[in-house]
Amino acid sequence: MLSSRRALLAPLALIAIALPLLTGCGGASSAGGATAGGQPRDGGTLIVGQYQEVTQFDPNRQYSWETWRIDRNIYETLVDEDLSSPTGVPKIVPKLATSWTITDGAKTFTFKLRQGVKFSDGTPFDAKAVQFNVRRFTDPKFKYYDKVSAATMGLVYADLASFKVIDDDTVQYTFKHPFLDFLRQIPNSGNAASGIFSPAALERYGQDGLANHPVGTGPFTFQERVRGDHTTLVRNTSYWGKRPHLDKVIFKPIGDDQSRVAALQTGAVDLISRVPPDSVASLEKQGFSVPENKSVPQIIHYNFNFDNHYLQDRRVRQAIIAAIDRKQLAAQIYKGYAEAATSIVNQGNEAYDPGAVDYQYDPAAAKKLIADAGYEPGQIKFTILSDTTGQPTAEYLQQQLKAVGIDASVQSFEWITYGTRAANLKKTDGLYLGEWGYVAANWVQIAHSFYVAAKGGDKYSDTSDATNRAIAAAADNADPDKVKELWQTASQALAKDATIFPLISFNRYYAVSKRVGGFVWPQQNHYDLSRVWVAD
Amino acid sequence: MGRRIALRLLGAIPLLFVISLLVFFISQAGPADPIKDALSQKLTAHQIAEIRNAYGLDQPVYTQYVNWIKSLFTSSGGISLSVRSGVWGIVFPAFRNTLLLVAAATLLAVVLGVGIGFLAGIRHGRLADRLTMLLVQIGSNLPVYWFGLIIIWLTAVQWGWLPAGGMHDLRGEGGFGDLMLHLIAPAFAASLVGMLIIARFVRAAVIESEQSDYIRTYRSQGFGQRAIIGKHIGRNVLPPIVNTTGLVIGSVITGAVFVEGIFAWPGLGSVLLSAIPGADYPVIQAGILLIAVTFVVINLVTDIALDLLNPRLRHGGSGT
Repeated sequence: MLSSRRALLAPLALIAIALPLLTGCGGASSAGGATAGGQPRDGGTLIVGQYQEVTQFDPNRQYSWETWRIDRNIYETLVDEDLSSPTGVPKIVPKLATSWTITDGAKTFTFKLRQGVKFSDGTPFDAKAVQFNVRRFTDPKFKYYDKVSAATMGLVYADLASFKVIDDDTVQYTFKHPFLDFLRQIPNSGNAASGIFSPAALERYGQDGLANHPVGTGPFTFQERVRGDHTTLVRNTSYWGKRPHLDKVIFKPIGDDQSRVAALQTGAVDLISRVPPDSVASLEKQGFSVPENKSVPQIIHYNFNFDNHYLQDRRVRQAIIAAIDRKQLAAQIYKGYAEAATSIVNQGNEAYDPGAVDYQYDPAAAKKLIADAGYEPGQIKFTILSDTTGQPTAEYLQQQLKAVGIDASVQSFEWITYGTRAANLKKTDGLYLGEWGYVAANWVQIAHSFYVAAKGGDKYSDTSDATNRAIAAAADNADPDKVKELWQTASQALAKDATIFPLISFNRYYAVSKRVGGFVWPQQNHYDLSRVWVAD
Repeated sequence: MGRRIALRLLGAIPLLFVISLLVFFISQAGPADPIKDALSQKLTAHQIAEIRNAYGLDQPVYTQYVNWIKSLFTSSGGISLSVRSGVWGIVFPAFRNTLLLVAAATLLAVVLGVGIGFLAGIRHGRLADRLTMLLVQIGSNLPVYWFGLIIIWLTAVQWGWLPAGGMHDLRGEGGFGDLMLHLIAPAFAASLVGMLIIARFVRAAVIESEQSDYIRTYRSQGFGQRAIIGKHIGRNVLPPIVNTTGLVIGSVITGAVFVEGIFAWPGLGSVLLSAIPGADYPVIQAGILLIAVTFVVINLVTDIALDLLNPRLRHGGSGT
């Protein structure tokens, strides 16, 4: 006979599994790690939990912010931004160039290069190396010309008229138009990264090989990448600049929000990006630092599908913007960990104007606009496309649109499928999610060109000619004192078209363990790891 | 017997060919465009066309198919569109990690599933059985994703017994113990659905066997419970266990794809999840093909194992 003790084993085992699930379970949680204290320490390993798998470690082919957060430690740019302060537009500072002059009405940029710098493979960094880099993405006659790089880098270098090597330590870029934002675009992140790679590495490993054998002049060098698992950088022992505190940095992609938070809570990682709003308060309670920054150049916006019949009417687009209470959205859906964005010129942008409002929240006006456009309540129907993280936002929009007589349905996808879906819009799609943002003032031009002009949106606004003129005027300006004013005028003109729908910007994003010291969330979409240290 | 196995092996070849066609053309027919998806918001149409040309994506579809099949037989297996390194170099290490997870999960599913099913079956109709079945019912309906998060929250965040994810401690030296520690939670999460399926099958088989005439006969003749269970019921429920396990591995693999995402396990699921947003065809196709081949192999092995367990076939019967 089986003893009854053994017979009960199976259900007991299952109860043991299920009980905590059913009761919700209590238990105190321990926040990990010692305090890094006030004194910087050399040595140690920092582990970063990223919210996405990164693209590739080739500066000219990479895209995504998370990728640049790694790449910028390997590859350096001619100029950089001072990222040591959490507030203020970061100052442009020397990096691989020690000085520069801007002449010819902001068309010509001449850089004096830093002498004695070597790539981590031992080859020298000089004017020839810079030339090799620039020719790779601008000169179709060059042996190492790369179409992919050329296409990606076009965002910054499309209007480069010429590049000259003046002498061993001097290079000169000349653009077809004044390009005041060039310096600001050089250290910018995401795509079109101007990080300088070792020509010898490209010659040795080939166009495709650079991504897996990245060689630059930066404070860290590449050790290994195990796709889907981690990327390891180690300190560049022959770095030309100040010794970074850390000996090693490991970046680990943890796509799932809750798993990423758990990894931080258990001490498996020291720093995470994209903290879900629901976790901010609990992480802070457990002693993690979740710094606030209300000027990070990031913006979540919706784009209009101009192939949708209803949205070709500006009054309908205007009504959509006026129907949404963005302040309440930031307060409720994002629990106050986001700011309402009422202009595409994101917070933290050089041309940011906190007073700029495209269309005030006014449901009554929205209803009237819809009636003026000739539609009955409930007649306008479209789909809102979102990724799953943005679903609560999309549903909030849906609810408020319903109140003004617009019948929107929400379709949300894992962000992996979202990209595909958003690149292949149907006529019934109305709004689709986007995220970008810049410190550089010419972001207005970039946003207009990619989300409106390229999508045929200009023809559905009778004021778009004025917008294009205003953008051209700002882009063509060579006077630094007029930058702000001209781009603000351009953005006001763009706002009138109601061709883009700014929504919110985050004010919390990173969470940091107590064992980390010196981490600063600057007014930029990446951070400087060279001054970060970890406790023993 | 040998002929049967050979026939089954031969049958797998056209199957693999059809699978390769499906894998290739489904991804081609889908709306995804490797260049457009990744960069469309940030590049002009002309720039996109340039990149497509550089990657050979503007060639006719059948040429791309032939190129792909050819590339599968090279050492690199083709080049990943997003990472620009050899496909096999990305896919094989990840596949090995997935196999480890699947093997551990299957082992857990079989051992625990058979145990639960057997115990419940023997105690058929009593409280212990009903309670077990209630929990099996609840467990079967738990979404893998949610279950995985709960396991992390409990075992890692609340109790601090197990790591929250990953395959090894990035701070430590690694080693076998470290790997096992990291394997427990994801393997358990991935095993749950399969474990409960096996439990139900085994329970049903045990009950059926227990109620059959010959067992009653044995019992009336005074055979001990232990002998009856071990020699007779056990042997009779073995084929359904093997059969179900073959099927369950399928659900374990599917579950593993999700589990890998939650537990940051660097397997094929993680690779596929990160390859899909960039529509990295060569990686996606190779990954799916590998999974498909695994299914074919598992089915083959299951069929062969069942053949071997079937005394009628073993003794040279013609079979069906």
